[in-house]
Amino acid sequence: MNPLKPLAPAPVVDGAIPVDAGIGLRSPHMQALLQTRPAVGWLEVHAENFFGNAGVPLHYLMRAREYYPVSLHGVGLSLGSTDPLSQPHLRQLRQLIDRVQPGLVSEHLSWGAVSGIHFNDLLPLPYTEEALDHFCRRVDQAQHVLGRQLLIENPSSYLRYRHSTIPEWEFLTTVAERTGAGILLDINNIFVSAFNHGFDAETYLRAIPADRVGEIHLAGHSLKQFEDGELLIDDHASPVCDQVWSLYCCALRLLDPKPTLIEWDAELPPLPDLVDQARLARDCLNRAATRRQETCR
Amino acid sequence: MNALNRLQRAFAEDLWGSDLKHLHGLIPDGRLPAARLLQVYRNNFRISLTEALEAVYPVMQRLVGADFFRYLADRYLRNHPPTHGDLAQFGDRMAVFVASFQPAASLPYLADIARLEWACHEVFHAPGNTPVGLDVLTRMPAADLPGLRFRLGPACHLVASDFPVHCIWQNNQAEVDEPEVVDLNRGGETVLVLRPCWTVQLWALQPAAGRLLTSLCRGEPLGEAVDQALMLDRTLDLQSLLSRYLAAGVLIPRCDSPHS
Repeated sequence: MNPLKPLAPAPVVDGAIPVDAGIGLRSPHMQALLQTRPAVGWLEVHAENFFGNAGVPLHYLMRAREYYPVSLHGVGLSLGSTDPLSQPHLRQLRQLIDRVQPGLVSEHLSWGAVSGIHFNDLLPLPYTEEALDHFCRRVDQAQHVLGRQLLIENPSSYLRYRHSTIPEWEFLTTVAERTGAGILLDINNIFVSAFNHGFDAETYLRAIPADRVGEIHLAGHSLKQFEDGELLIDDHASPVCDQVWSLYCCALRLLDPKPTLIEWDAELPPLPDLVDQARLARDCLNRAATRRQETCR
Repeated sequence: MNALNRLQRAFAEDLWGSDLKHLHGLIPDGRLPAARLLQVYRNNFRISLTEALEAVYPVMQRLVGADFFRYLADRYLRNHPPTHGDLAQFGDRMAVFVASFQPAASLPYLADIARLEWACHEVFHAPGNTPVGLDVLTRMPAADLPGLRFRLGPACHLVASDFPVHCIWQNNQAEVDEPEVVDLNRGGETVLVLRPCWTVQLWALQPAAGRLLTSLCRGEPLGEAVDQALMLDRTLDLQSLLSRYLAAGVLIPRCDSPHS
């Protein structure tokens, strides 16, 4: 598949997200996407960028939606906050869902606001019983208002809390079990957090129930050197690295092929480079599917 | 939920740089000392929201330079942090903020540039305009026309300034390598920001046209607005002006007007 000679997908009637590779669509790529209609299986956008039920961004998203299934990825609901869940935010999201008819809707295992101020970040939760109960209640509320299942994504993190008592994989799995939510497993985030906190990424993967995983994320990160040590920063500003590809292949073996998204948010490359990353993910998915058939035979 | 709430409030104070040490003891050192790990979150918070302001205010940023803009954005953020999980409204008070921002006092036009850029942002996200045919006016009894009132279309903003803001805006677009020197004494400009289709446009209005639209926006009836515009320019071609505004959905006849 040559990304420069795009195949034109047929207009989409069904919005279900296929077990294929998709790309995170950012506004600088919108025109190129509509003009070239590259062969990617699906698109994901940040839901908040299309709130308001009007305007230029939504117009182009609806045009893209004619050709691709779309997943809505929330970044601002702040599910882990102790502030009340924002009903206007949920209403906006619900309105967008009604309009776009997305195949999947996801949010994060994190918090981002307190005392009415939003920090525009995915901040780490302490993994305690208190936080678990709170987070599950919030997922229940959100799913109730939205009238559908959410996928919850594992965040990348740079710090841990001394009073955390539950491993992140167990916390995430329990949220899914208690609320009926699905899991959006970000392989790059696992890799970044495993390095930053010194746990084994495969242990994480092995703890995740395959049937709960609705989607996988892949992205680039960078190693930042400080005078007193080094840290992996989840900056989504580069291609997926070899080690994350390996971890992804391992995840596909353990969890079966799942819809997989390439995220790239900073220092955006030309669209064909992003499509190329999706092609690599598709190759991995195809290999995993073939292997699975051979095992079943 | 008390412990979680306390933790989140302490974390927030740390993000603001208060360094009250509330979090110390809760966060063990990792690959880096705990204070350094928190610094990563402080940076993300500051940088991501500065970038959000840069995206809305590129002309302002170009006028004051990247370093000064970062400083200004930081002060803005402290005064008017985001209060919603979507950032569409973040930056809405920039014009008022910058008007009283002493370090930028030497650029008296900066607040109006901020108003203009916020107008572009709002028009970009607004519902589209609906064109109106000139026949709406020609079908009316002539005697009713002077009493007709209008409102501005949803994807329109009118920005009036004592400075040549359109000229400044044009000269400071990313693609302009060598901006012309703008004479600040050349007089004010009224700019119509609109979105006839899916691209935001800026129309610099002649003074008489600017007066006409400003009056109509205030809800004054057509007759009075026309009289005021004609005082500025006796040769104003009203018919072509009105049909242009109606066709672009800039002016919408109000239902409380007679026969509209």
